[in-house]
Amino acid sequence: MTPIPSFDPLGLPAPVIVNLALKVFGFWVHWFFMGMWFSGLLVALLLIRIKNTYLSNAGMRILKTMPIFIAFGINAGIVPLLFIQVLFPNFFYTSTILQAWFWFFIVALVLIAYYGIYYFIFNYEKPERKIFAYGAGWLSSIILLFVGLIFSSEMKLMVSPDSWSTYSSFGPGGTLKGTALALSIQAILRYFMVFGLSTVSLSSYLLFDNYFLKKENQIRDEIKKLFLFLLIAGIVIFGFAGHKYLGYINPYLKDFVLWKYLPAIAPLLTLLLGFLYYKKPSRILALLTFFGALLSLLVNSISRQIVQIEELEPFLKLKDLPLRVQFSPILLFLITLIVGLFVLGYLLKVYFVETRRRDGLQNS
Amino acid sequence: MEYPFWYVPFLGSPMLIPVYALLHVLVSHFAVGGGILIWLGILKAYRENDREFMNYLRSLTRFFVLITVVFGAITGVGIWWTIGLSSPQATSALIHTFVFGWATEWVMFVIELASALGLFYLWEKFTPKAHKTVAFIYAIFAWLSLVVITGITSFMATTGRWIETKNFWHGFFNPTFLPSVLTRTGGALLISSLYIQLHLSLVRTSERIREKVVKWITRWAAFGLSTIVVGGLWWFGVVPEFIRIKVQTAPTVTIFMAIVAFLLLALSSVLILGPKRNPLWLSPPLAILMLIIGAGGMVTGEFVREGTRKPYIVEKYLYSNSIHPEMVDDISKSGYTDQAKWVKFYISKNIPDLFTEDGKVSLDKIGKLSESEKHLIGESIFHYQCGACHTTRGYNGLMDRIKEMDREMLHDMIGYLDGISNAMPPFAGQEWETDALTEYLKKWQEKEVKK
Repeated sequence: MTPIPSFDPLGLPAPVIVNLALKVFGFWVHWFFMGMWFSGLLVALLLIRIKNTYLSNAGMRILKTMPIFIAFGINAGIVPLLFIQVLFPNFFYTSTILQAWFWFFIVALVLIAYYGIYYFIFNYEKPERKIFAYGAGWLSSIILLFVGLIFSSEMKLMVSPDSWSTYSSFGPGGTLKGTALALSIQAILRYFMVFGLSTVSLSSYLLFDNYFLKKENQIRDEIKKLFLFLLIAGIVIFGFAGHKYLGYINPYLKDFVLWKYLPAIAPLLTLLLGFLYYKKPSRILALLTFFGALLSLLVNSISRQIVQIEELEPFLKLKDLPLRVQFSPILLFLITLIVGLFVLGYLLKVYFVETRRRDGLQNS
Repeated sequence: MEYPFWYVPFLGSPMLIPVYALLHVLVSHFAVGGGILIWLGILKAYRENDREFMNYLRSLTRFFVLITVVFGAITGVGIWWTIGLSSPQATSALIHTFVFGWATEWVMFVIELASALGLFYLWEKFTPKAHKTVAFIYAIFAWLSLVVITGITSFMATTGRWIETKNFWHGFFNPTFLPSVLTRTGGALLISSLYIQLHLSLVRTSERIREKVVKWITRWAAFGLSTIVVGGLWWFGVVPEFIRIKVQTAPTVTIFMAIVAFLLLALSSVLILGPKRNPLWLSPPLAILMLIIGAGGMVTGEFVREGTRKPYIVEKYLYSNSIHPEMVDDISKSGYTDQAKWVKFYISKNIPDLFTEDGKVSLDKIGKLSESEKHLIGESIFHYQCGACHTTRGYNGLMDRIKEMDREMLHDMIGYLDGISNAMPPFAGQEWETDALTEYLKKWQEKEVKK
């Protein structure tokens, strides 16, 4: 077996539970936005070609909001990546070096995808550039789907130090070439689990957008059908991949009750709420379905964390890690976070107040 | 010592850091300085009730958001991505010291992002009060994120009291923190002024607006330039002795310093003779030229900052080759092959009998190593211990430096690296490992001569 580097001698700057909580919280927020481009971009590109005007408009609306989703998604992704480096540096860095070239090019690929989406937005409505714009949109979607595969590979490789030697391609003097891509069946199944739940959150976002941001009554019936289709499709993909995945993991992992049941229960609860909404649409059910999807992402973020810890357990005991708590920097972070939430609240207030004022002026 | 080393032919993996870092530096400084200038511009437009100027600022904000929010954010992550690949041990040290600094900066960045997108999408919907407030929120949080990141980057060159206490604040408020904040703030205002001149030269505006913007922005460029000079001199006054000596004596660093000074001087001259005196002269080629000069100065300045830090990657804590200074003696006693985990793994696969059953280097075997075995060990030591800064024939390649040396000179050089150059860490290893590295370099030198 290849060697595992020692943990950083500087120790953890906060208790394990604080680092884990921030990591899971960050991943949860990231997942919501990431789902919008992971599954949402693909769905939106298909929708805009549909002849039904309401559905193609819905697709276009998702696409026009895509730069915001990507900007916030990348930003939120920084948090779990910060704390994964705090908690598991020796596993994380080594596995990224094993697939260094892929990891290195993620940034360039995401840049291309991001500008591809802007190109689409600025040019799709110009007849002479429509085809190029559509091509740019598809290129962006394919790139982002591929980037998801690299992440899946990385997350699986990180927790499998016993497979590192299989993926070690040595260069001169025992250096690593960094050309591995660990696309095992487990990594692929995890990829589809993420894709499935991303589709669930996309479906509920459509309702949220329609009730709380766009507010156009006449398109709700059309959105309703699309919503239910995406919700069911997302849950089927998630359920199928999750069920298969259970067959590949170590039996002892299946003993975790939280891991075994809740990740499935939360999406099913969302499905129930979704059916109720479909039968009798209402603002409150739309909101509850949206929260159901967020809950599904949260529960699955927690369960993924539990599995990650358990998979690393033979190599790392979190409770034994050296601790050097940084109280005042943590306090600074918390104060900034509170100030930041107030400022974000102010910005949202400005957004809603100014939009309403403007709409009022236009109506009058 | 702990991690595998990523082999990148010709360049070496650390040289991939600038691919994202230099782009990021140019854009992130615009994100800060541009935010401040847009806020000041909005105040000015409301104060003077200048609708046309406000319309220009709207177009500028669109240009600004498209460049900074996307490019700045992603390349920022890119730097971190690449340093983790090329210097995982140093990245881990930074993360375990400053993670809550980064987390704080992350909150600031979220606010920056929200306010920048607010300015982009809501420009026409704002009341004047809301407009000024949102622009101010962006400007202040962008500048604060520069302050936080500067605390971390300046720490790498001057760790200050942190080296004894390992205290976050001692590392953050290190000796070069304040001068670096001043220099970077000046740099942000300067480069943003140049970006704005480029934007102005590309869009259609009236002569009045062109004249007004150029006069206004050139004053900020001059202010940025003077702040860089003051900050730079202050930085030079407080850096540790080894850095000051390097600036004066290391040829590459001295040349780069001279280039920075020359570019700043050239930029001042162009600004004074061109846009300041004759605002209507501003054209895309002139604006591009000024931006190239400014960007050149900034990029060269970053190379100086990086270059002066050597032999450390984190001053007094970690050498560029990821060896802790206090471990050098220990490694010289036990052997690099014994302590560098991935070197040991690789060698034990290829020369299994070099290690005894308890995993220690076999003293019997050392004396019986064949030439090819020595070569293999030397090659591994070279890549792991020298590869952070040197390649064989590519970037910072050793061939030109050692082509005239005989075996004895090579051997002596390895034993006295830190004496030969103040940018080099000492060689960490036992005598037989020095022999193996000498063997590898000699063989490879002979091969090159034959070519």
